[in-house]
Amino acid sequence: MNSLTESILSRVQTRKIPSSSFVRTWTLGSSHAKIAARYFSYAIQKHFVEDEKKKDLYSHFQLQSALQLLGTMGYLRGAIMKIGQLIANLPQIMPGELIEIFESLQFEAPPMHYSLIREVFLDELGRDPEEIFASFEKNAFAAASLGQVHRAKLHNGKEVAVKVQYPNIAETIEADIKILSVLLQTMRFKKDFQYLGAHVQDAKSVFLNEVDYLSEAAFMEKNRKIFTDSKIVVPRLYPEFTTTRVLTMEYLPGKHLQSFLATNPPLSRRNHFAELISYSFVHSWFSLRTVYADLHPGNFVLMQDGRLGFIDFGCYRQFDVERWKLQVDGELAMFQDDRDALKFYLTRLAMRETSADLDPEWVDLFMRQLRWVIAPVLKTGPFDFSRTEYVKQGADLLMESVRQGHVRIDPFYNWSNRALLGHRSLMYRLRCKFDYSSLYLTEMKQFT
Amino acid sequence: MRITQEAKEKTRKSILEAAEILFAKQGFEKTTTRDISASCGIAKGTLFNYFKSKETLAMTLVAQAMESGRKMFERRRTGKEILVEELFLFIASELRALKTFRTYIGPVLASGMSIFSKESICPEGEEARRNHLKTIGKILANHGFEIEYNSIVITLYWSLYLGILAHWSKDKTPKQSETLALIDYSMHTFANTISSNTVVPEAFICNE
Repeated sequence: MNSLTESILSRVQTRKIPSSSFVRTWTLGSSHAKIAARYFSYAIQKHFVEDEKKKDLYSHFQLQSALQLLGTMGYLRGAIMKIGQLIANLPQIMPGELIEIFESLQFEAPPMHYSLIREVFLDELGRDPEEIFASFEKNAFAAASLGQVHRAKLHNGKEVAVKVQYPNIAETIEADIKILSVLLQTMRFKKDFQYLGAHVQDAKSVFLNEVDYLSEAAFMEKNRKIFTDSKIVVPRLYPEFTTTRVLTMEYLPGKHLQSFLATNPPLSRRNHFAELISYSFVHSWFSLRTVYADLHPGNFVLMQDGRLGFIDFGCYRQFDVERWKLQVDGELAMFQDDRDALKFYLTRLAMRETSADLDPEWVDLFMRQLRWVIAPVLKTGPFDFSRTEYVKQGADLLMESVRQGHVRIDPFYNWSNRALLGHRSLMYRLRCKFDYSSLYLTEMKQFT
Repeated sequence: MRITQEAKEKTRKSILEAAEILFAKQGFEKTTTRDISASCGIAKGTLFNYFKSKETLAMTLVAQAMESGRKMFERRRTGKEILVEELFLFIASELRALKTFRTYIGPVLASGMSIFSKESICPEGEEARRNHLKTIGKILANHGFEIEYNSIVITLYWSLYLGILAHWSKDKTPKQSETLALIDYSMHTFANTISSNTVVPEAFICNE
């Protein structure tokens, strides 16, 4: 096992998968950011040189300077954070060195102080929080996507969680993506460069959707409907106190994964919540044709009465009808080991004309990844997610795909890959063993 | 006939009101003193008995808004704010009060609060600056920093503050949200600097 795989594995054991930790990445002006920037620059140049056997020193320095400048733009809190997330979602351009650097940063956005919260409230809802709510806790109790969450009480006594977004995030993302697109121009001689642009644009649309809390609220409501009469609780929305930058929802009492695990719960209890987390993911996938890409511990509340709170709906990507059909047909082909159908699926996924055009090295890797993904579905009866060997294999395959740097693939793959790794990592942390296959296939049968 | 003090006050007030409406409607640059005097039914010469120039008139309006922003700040502050938070609250409250002047505050401040002179060329501007900085002095004192009015710390603050105003006046983001982020960042920088908690970023050190 190489040191990188080891470090990924240790992170899976203790925290979360590499990609999701980028969510809170922001540093700006720190020496770490500059080191990260240099590595990024170096890695891009490396690709460039390897492919074209020539060096463009001028653009190298230009790129390096631009990245350093980006690293110092501290007030644009979205900048590094979102670019980090974007890189995490594009393993094809994410050099191994950069994963380690970004992972070591561990930056948390410093909390917005209450004066700033009040200004956001005045702009968004026209009143201070203490005028709107019967009580409002000035200190945030959790970090959220691009903001923070405060506890408050409505005048009718209901407890709510209020998510407040840091000002100007949406505007910076557009600007950041433009900067990134310019920076990536140094890779323009790389094979399949044009497909990289599609990935960047796809990530941009998901991020811009994520900063609109009204869009998140709408998706939350959709989920609330599909999980009615289940043990999954989606918080009730309070639209009168919700805007693009403030989201007010029912407060769900309970524990997050880490504190739950600290109580040393028995296997039956761990399996119970593992099944619920899996159900939330799979049910949303099939019934809404949506991949929920932010599957990390902070987005679930494990409630005392055995229900699971599903509380963050910012980062998701919906299939269109055609793409969904391809996905389902592809999955069926995998489960039935239908080689011809599988070839057709891979050809479409890699945006090729015929299967003869497929890159054999990529096909080999992709098939190994697929086998890893479907292993829990193919296993009849309980699947043991706690096996280190299984998670290690997933981490190794991720690293191999990073090294291969294949960009000619449907951008949707970035999100499903991230979601699946997030799911397996949660299962691993719960050290669970349950019949995932029945759960998955029942849902698949019901909705396809 | 002698004009009573009360009548003078009334005329002064109506000039200010008319100017505020016209500046907002047709812009500061396009509004003339003739437009203002016509709007409140006085002779152009009479206007100059009250205000030396259009710039002085606008600066008076801005100074009044700054004053009401200061009062808003006093009402909103809880006394429990940390330094950055209190500075942020003061500037944000002031900008909220100045909102109607945003699009033309640039030329007003350029003539009313010259950034190149220690003393403003316009007495109204000078008074507004003194009052603003007096509040800053109080905030700093609340947090244990006794700072002289002419100290370099105040100059540093003033530079950041003018930068915020300049950015705000041109801020095209919805609800000027970029300015909120800028105030926060600037006040963090300021507080860190005066607390000697500063690191010179590597990017700014020139080795060549």
